[in-house]
Amino acid sequence: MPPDGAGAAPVLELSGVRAAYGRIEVLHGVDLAVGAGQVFALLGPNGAGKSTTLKVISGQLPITGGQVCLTGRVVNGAVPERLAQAGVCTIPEGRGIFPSLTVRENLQMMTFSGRPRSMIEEQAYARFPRLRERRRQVAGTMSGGEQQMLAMARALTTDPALLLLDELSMGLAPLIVDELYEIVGQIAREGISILVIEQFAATVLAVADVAGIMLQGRVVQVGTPDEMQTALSGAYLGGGG
Amino acid sequence: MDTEIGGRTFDDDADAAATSAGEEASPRMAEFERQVAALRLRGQSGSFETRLLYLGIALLGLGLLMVGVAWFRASDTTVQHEQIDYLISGGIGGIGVTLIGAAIYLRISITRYLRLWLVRLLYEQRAQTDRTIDALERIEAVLRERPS
Ligand SMILES: Nc1ncnc2c1ncn2[C@@H]1O[C@H](COP(=O)(O)OP(=O)(O)OP(=O)(O)O)[C@@H](O)[C@H]1O
Ligand SMILES: [Mg+2]
Repeated sequence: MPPDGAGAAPVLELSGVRAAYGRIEVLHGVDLAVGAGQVFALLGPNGAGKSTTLKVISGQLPITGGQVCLTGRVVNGAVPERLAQAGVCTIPEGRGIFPSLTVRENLQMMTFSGRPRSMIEEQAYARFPRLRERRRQVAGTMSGGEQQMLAMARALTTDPALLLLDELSMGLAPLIVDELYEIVGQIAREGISILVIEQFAATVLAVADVAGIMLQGRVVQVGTPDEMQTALSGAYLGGGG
Repeated sequence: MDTEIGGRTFDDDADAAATSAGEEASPRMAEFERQVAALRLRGQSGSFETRLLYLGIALLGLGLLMVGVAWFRASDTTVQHEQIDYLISGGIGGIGVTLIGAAIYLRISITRYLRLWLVRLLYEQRAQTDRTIDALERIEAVLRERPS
C-alpha cells in the first residue's frame, strides 16, 4: 500500500511542466505526483520524453512552463548540485559508474560525502552481496546487472530522499531485472520515494504503487499498476490516451 | 544520521512497518523538507559563473576606455605634471583594470572549456570500454563454441 500520508504534500509533484531543447518543445505539460515511500512507474515508448522529465526534476534542464514541487515547495530553477545535496538522486540511463575503476574504487569515490570508506563499503555489500565478491573487479567488465547494482549502491550512499531511475532494465536479462526490482521495492519500504522510468511494463508494475503512461510529452493516464497493465496495450497501438 | 542509514540497511522490516503505519514523517523526510526549504533558486540572470564572465568582459572594456580617455586628455595638455597624472590614473590604472578583466574572462572560459573536454574524454573512454568488452565477449563466444 502506498504510505501516502493523507493531506501531506507529495514528495515530488510536477504540474503542467513544459521543457524544450532549444526551440523544440519536448514536454507539453507534464503532471505527476509521487508520495512519500511510493514507487511511481512512468511508462512510455521511445522519445515520449521520459528521460527529459528526469532531467527536469534533477535540475539539469530548465523548464519553460509549469511547476516542479518538492515536498510542496516550488523549486523551479534550483541548480542540480543543490538538489542532489538535498537528496534528489538520479541514476541515469546506461550506468553512472566509472567503468575503468574497480567496484571498490567506484564506491570509494563516494567518500566525498564525508562518510568513512569502510561504512560506505559495508553498506553497499550488505545490500548487494554480489558486489563484495566482485570488489576487486574492474566495473566495466562486470555484467550489466552487476553494473546496475553498483550504480544503485553508489546512489544509495548519498542517502537520497527521492530516487530517479532511468530504464533500469535496459539490456538486462529478465531474471536480473526481477532481482533489481525486488531491491527497488525494498528501498521504497525504507521510506525513499522512487520514480522509475521504463519503456515496457515488464516487472516495474509488480513493485509500483502508482503507474503512469507518457506519450508525446504528456502523462496521458495515471492509475494503479493493474489498470495501467490493461491500458498499456491500447496506448502503444495508438488507441488509448 | 549515519547510524540511522546503517540501521535502515540492515533492518528493512522494522522500517517498512514504521513507514506504512506512520502518518508521522520519517526523519529523513523531515530533513529533506528542511533542505528543500533552504534551497536557493536561480534567478533570471543565469549562473554565478555567467555573471563573472560578463564582469570580466565589462572590466576589459572599462580598462581600455580608461586608457583611451587618458590618452586624449594627456594629448590635450602640454603641462607635464598633468600628463603624468593622466598617465598614472588612466594609463596604468586602465591597464590594471584591463588585466583583471582579462584574467577573470580567461579563468571562466578555460574552466568551461576544460569541463567540456573532461566530459568528452569520460564519454569516449566509456564508449571505448564498451567496444573492448564487446570484442572480448565475441572472442569468448567463439572460443566456447570450439570443442577443445
Ligand atoms: N539533448 C537533446 N537535444 C535535442 N533533442 C533531444 C535531446 N534529448 C532528447 N531529445 C529529444 O526529445 C525527445 C524526448 O526524448 P527523451 O530522451 O526524453 O525520450 P525518452 O522517453 O527517454 O525515450 P527513450 O525511451 O528512448 O529513452 C525526443 O524526441 C528526443 O529526440
Ligand atoms: Mg530515455
